[in-house]
Order: sequence, then structure tokens, then C-alpha cells
Amino acid sequence: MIAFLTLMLAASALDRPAPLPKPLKARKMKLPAPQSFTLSNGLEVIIATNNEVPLWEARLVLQLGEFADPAGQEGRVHAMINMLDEGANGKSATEMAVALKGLAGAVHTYTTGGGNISVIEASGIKRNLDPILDIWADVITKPTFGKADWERIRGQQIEELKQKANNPNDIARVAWGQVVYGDNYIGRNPTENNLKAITTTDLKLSYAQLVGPQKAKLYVGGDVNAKELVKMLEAKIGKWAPESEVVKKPEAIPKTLTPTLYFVDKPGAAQTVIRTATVIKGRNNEAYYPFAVANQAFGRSFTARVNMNLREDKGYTYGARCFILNSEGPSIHVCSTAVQTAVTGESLTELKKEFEWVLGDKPITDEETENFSDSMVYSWPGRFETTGRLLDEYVDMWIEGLPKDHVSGYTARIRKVNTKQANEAFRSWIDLNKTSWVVVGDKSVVGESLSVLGLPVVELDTNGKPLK
Amino acid sequence: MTWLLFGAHALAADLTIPYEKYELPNGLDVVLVEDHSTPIVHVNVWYHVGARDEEEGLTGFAHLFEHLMFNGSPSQPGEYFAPLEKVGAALNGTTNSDRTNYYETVPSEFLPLALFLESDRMGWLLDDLNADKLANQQDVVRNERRQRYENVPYGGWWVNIFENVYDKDYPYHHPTIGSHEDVAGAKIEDVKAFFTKWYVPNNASLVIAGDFDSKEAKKLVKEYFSNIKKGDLPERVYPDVKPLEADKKVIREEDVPQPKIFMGWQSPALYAQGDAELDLFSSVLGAGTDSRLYQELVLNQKIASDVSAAQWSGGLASTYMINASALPGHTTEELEAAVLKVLNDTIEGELKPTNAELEAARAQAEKSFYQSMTTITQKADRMNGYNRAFGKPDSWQRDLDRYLNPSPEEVLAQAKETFGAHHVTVHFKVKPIEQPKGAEPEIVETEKEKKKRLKAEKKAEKKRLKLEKKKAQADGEADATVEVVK
Repeated sequence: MIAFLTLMLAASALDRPAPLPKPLKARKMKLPAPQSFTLSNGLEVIIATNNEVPLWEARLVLQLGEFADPAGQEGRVHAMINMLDEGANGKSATEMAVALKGLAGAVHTYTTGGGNISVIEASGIKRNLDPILDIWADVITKPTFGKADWERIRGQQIEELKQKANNPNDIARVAWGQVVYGDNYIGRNPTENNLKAITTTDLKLSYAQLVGPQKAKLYVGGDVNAKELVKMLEAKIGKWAPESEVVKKPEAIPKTLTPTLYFVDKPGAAQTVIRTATVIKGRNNEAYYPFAVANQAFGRSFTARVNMNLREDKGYTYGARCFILNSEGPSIHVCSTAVQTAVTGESLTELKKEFEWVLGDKPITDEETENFSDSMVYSWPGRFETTGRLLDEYVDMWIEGLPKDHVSGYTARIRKVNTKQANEAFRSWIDLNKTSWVVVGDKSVVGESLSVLGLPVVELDTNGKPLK
Repeated sequence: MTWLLFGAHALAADLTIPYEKYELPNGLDVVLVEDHSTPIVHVNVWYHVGARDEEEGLTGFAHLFEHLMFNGSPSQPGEYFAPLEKVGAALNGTTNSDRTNYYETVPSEFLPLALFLESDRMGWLLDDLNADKLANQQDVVRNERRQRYENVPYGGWWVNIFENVYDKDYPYHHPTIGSHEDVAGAKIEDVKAFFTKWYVPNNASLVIAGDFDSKEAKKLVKEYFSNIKKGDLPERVYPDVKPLEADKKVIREEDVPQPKIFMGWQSPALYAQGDAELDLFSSVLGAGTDSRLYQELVLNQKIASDVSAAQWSGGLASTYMINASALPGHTTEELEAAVLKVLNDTIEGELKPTNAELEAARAQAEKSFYQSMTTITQKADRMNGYNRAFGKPDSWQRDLDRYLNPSPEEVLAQAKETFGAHHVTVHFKVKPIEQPKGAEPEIVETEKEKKKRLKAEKKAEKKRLKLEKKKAQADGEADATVEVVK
């Protein structure tokens, strides 16, 4: 009692500055254990229940993407997948939209994962699970591919290409894809002519030949009863077993990157967009997590070196971050920022300096290792507050072939990393001689400052193709 | 077909979230919302000051100030982010016309740290503030302006709408990001005056949501916040919105990918009568493939590639916005005329919403409420907003009732009033800048290649169908799903 009173008296006289308070007792993360079922057509269904709110989502994930486009037919798989929900089983796109709205549900079909996967997704309110899944099942098994609908969707996709070619941030992404992957599927982007060459016959053929439960998985999360749901799914798509080809995916192998600055002119650009690329290894490599800890300190966090320099110290940018892009193949290390046009040369110089310091006489320190390991470990449970995010992780685990304890074993993996390992990993994987730079800006203003890196400059167009 | 019938449902059940609320002697509102689903806790502070409270010549100040709140405080000089990032926090702040919020989500055991740091900057920010930090954040904010509004196609449309819909004396006339000139011209004295005037506990409310113990939290709040002094909050009186006396047309000729229009109308404020009615109207007018605007402009007339409509709600007043992008060969004037005709037909003509459509809009509203409840971040911020508007953090059902109650006639009456008044249209015309094209030829199929490919694909399809038929016969079922590709 007396101790309590003492605490209260001390509290009212709290002076500033004061030492930071100590933590309370830690609480345990409890994640729902996913349940797995298999339908009679062999489709595996993974269910993570969460009864907090009466909502659910279901994603049929297909290992099918832009990689299946024949050369000259770029955009075909993306078009086919996007057309699935534009009319199915005798109902038009409008009729389906009306029905879904009334059911407080949604069905979306899209390609994602950098050209690796396609998703046919349904979501909605708990009480309408059955009728929403009916529409979703029709989209999967009986899409129409109407001519007028394809005309409309193609028109939209062509306008989207124009939008991308006009936005410096998208131009940088497209150019980066070309630089890193070239004509490997991840780097390819359809042109207006590619899209105009695609007919509904092409779409129907692609669908018939490529879409099926082989090499697919169904992930469901939210307020569902697993047993009842599986019964429903069996009734709706359990017998869906078309003969379909499982297209062998070309490996997502990036090109050998050279120390080159690739530049795209965007007259009048208010900012210059900068994106680096260095090929590293993937999440199954034993040096990955030491590398990730080093990168957290180098560029991933707000308080990492790169952002603290370019934003908080110099004021060149609203934000500069370095992150790791994971896929089936080797991962890619990227530093990305948009800087005021007038300080383009200075920004390139500072970013290069940060690389040189961390690889040279300013390696990651013990304090940085401790602070950023803490950061990664403590932020891990919060990532899975929603089932949507948990499902994202499960999909990654499947696509990248990550171990079963990817989620539960993360903390231990990070805690194992010491400063020496972090620096060794970063130094062995990052090499400025194997790093390419993609820069998009106003040539008339920044053209001359591009030489600050001392690299050969190659000019690209807005599709990422070399000018000469 | 069963899925064409709308799912029968009773009006949404009880949307309630248990909470506890009290006020400190210095005027700070405190709201506690326990939620033990994930071992994290979210701290959310609203300061009831926004761009609407800025003085002339100091536009962008509230937002600039928000940045400075992250630049360190006495117990954590230099960078507010550092101790919080160390404990895995997800943190940020946002400023709009009406208020500024600051929040962080941390593992449950770090609640004391989060609360302590919020109190540190609420009470003592000025102790660690200097001209260097101001100069740095002025640069950062100007870069934010470039990134959001200048280096993207159509970037300035937001500014154009507000400066034309509202007259120059109205607090919503200028954008929250401010002008380059005003942001660059801010002085350290302005910063100190702003803090002293607005950043006081009686102008703030604190919500703690997540996996924590209320008794512990109350002790901490008292320990850290109770000796922050109450402030002399000035009376605030905002002018009324001046109705537009005529339609306004703004033309911008720029290097944009497609001609596009952005339209704005004055409309009822957040939570006021008519606000939810316009959201319901939006569902019919502009949301999705089945909406009136999409059906008319994209599907039937084929003059637009996309179109959308929404009520943007503000604390003092709202702005109803419609935008549409033109397909090749069509002009912004065509788009505007088409939009106005659709509006007229939907309100008074042959495109009036049906009862079923409004029922569907209600169902969508219900779903969106549930979606807001899936994370403690969203929950906490909504409840802070409800507390501000109604004095009651748990106003979820009251808010949802605004969507469930209006009749179709009431919805149309509001639409008639809003769209019967004048509006602003910003027209973006395409003035292209020549972009150099690559030297490499594009990969396009030749006619010969195409014929060859189609032949091979059709052959493969025939083979596939044969296999399907064989399988179906083996299964003993009639094959109803085989389609012949023409």
C-alpha cells in the first residue's frame, strides 16, 4: 500500500526530461492454426478462422501469370484473368455486379506477385457466404469472354498503359523491370499493339488450356465454419477438374546487372525518381536473415541510414527506403526514392556514399544490430492482426517454398543474427559493381548531374527500351 | 437463379464496442478500448486543430507542425521515431482540414513507452525545438507536396477543386499541404505560438485500444499526462459556406495521358443531415459496373474509360466529387454534359434508383462498418472521431443508422438539393510532350506467326476436349461443361 502511494506521489512531480519507462510483462501471440482440407478434385483448401467481425475472404490462387504469355502476345494471361468476372454462366457483368452489391459481397480476379500468380477472390458478409460463393464458382468454371466486354476492358487497359507511361513513378518501375529481368516474363509489359492483337478466341483458348485446380490452392480466412464451408466448396467446385496444362514457368532469373545508370527523360518532372537493383539470394538461403537485419539498419526503416541522410538530414526527399523484393527466384535488393529535381546529383552522391560507407569503413554497428533486430522481432506479431495479412504470408510460403515454421520461427532466426554475420552477409551480397541504377527525371535539368556516379549512362524510353 | 435474389436480412444487429471514458482535470479526454485478440496496443491522439485554423500567409502550417512533432522531445531528443521503431512500432500522423492525429501500435508490453512519449511531446515539445529542425522539415514537406501533387498526372486537381468550390475566406479554400511560399516562409516564432495555442490537453483526446489492462493504463495516463497544463483555448467561429453563384470552369492544358474532368459540388458536412444520404446515392450513381455513370458513360455511350463519384465529408462542410477520363476521340465537354444528364435522369428522370438498389447500398454500408472494426488502428481512430463529434466514442450503431434509416425519397431529395446548385469543373486537356521511342522493334506477331500459333492452339484444344470427353465417359457423367471454341 505504501509503495503504491509513493509511486503516485512521485508521478505527480514527474520532471522532463525523464528516462524512458520500462516495459510491462510481455503477452503471447496466439495465431489461429490453419486447417487444411482437400476437395475431390485434389484442390487443397487452407482455412484460418477469425470470428471478430462477420466478414470472410476466399482466394483461389493459381500458379499462372504473365510468364505463360507467348512472345508477341504480352498481356494475354492478364487479360484472360481480368475478364473472368466480366460475365459468367449466362449472366452479364452488370447483372453480377447488381447481385454482388445486394449481397454485400465482391468478386475480383487479378494477376499479381510480379507475374507469378493469378487470384480469383471472393469476399463479403458472413450471412451471404453461400450465394456469393455461387457467383465466384461461376466465374471460375463458366466465364463468358463476351466480345463487347473485351472491347471495353481492352480499352481500359490501353488507357492504363498511357497512364503508366506518363507517371514518373510507374515509368521507373517499368524501366527497372526491363533492366533487371529483360524479356524474362517479369520484365515484359504489353503495348497497345499487343493488346489490340488479342481476341476473345485467344482468351477462351488460354482459359481452357491454363486454368484448373492443378497447381492451385484455395485460401480462406474470416468468420467461417470450416466443416460447413468445405461442404459448400465441394458442392460448388469439387467436381471442377478440366484437363488443363500446367505451364512450366521459366525461372525468374534476373540478368547479370552491370554498374550502369539507366535514364528515362520525363520533361517537366518535379522530382527525379531513383531505383537501384542488386541481385541477392532468397529467403531459403542461410545468410538471408543476417542480410535482412543489416538492411533494416541500412535502408529499410525510417531511422535507417539512408532515410535519415536523404530526408531528415538533407531534406532532399519525402522518403528513401531500401527493401528486398522476394520471389521464387533470387531476391532483389532495391533502394527507392523520389527527390527534388534540383538536388538530383546530390541525392545520387549521398546514396552512393551510404553504400560505400556500409561496405567500407562504417559497417553496421552492434547498437544498430540490436536496435533493428528488436524492431523486426517486435513488429512481427502485429503484422498478422488481420486474416488477410496472414493469408498473404501463407501464399508467399507456398510460392517461395518457405519452411513450415516461417511464421513461428521468425523471431528465433532474427535473434540468432550477430553483427559479424550481418556485415558479412551484406558485404558478400551487395557490390556496387553489380548494381544498376534507374533514374527518371527531366533531362534538361538533371542531364549533366547524372555523371556524378561515374557510371556509363544508357537512355531508355518510357517502355524501358534503349533509345540507341 | 438463387444468386439474383438479395439475401434477406434484418436491419443490422447491435454494433457496439465496450469502452471506458473519463476526463483528466486538465481537460484531456481519455478513452480505453480493450481488445485482446492480438498482443498489441494502439495509442491514438487527436489534436482538434487542422488546416482550417491556419492564419493567412501560413497555409500548410498545421501539417508542417505535425512533422515537427516527430523531430524529438526532451526525453528523446533528435528523433521521435527511434525509440518506437526499436520496439517494432507502426507509427505515423495525419493532418487534414479539421484535425491532426498521431498514433503508434506497439507490442502490449511497450504501452508505458508509447504513452510517455506522447505526453512528452504534448507537454514539452518546445524544449527540444530549434530553427534547424524547422528548416529541415520545411524541405521535407515541400518534397511531400511535389510527390503527391506535382510529380503525378493531374496532380493539382485537388487544389483546383477546393480553391474554386470555396471562396477565399472559407477555411477549406486552401489545401492542407499549403503553398511552397507559405511553408518556406514559416518562422520559429510561428511554430512556438501555434504549439502554445493549440497543443494543449483540453484540445486533445487520447484513445488506447488493444491488448492492455485498463487499471494499468489509467495509472500510466495519470502519471504522464496529469501535470501538463491546461491551455487558454480561443473561441472558434467558422463562417458559413457561401453558395456558388455560377458554375465555374477551370481549364488546364498539360502533358496528361487522357483528357479528364474533375467536378465538385458543395454538400452537407460529416454526420449532418444529408451526408449519409449522398453516400447511399453514390452507390447507385457511381460505384461499380452497375452504377448509372458507368453504365451510361463507359458501357452505353463508350465515351469514358473510367468514372467515379463520391461524397468527401469534412467536419464543417463536404464536397461531392465526380471524375471521368475520356476515351480517344472524346472531349472533356462531352464528358461533363453526359455526367450532368445522368445526374438529372437519376434524380428526376428515367434512371431513378429502385428500392432494391438502396437496400444494396445499405448492405454495402454495413459491410464497410465491419471492415473498419478489423484492426485496432481503425477502431481507435473512428472512436476518437465519434468522441469528438458526439461526445460518445461508441457511436457505431448511431453512425450506421444514418445509412439504414433514410427512405428513397429522402435520398433523392438530398441529391436534388445538392446537384441543383452550381458546381465547379476542372478540365484537363492533353498537351503532349514528345517522348523519344526506343530503337528496338516491338515484339508483335506477324500474320504468318499468328496463323501458325492459332492452328497449334486449336489442335491442342481439340486434343484437350478429347481427353475431357474420355474422362467424362469414364466417370459415367454427361459432360455439360465442354464448350466448343469458335
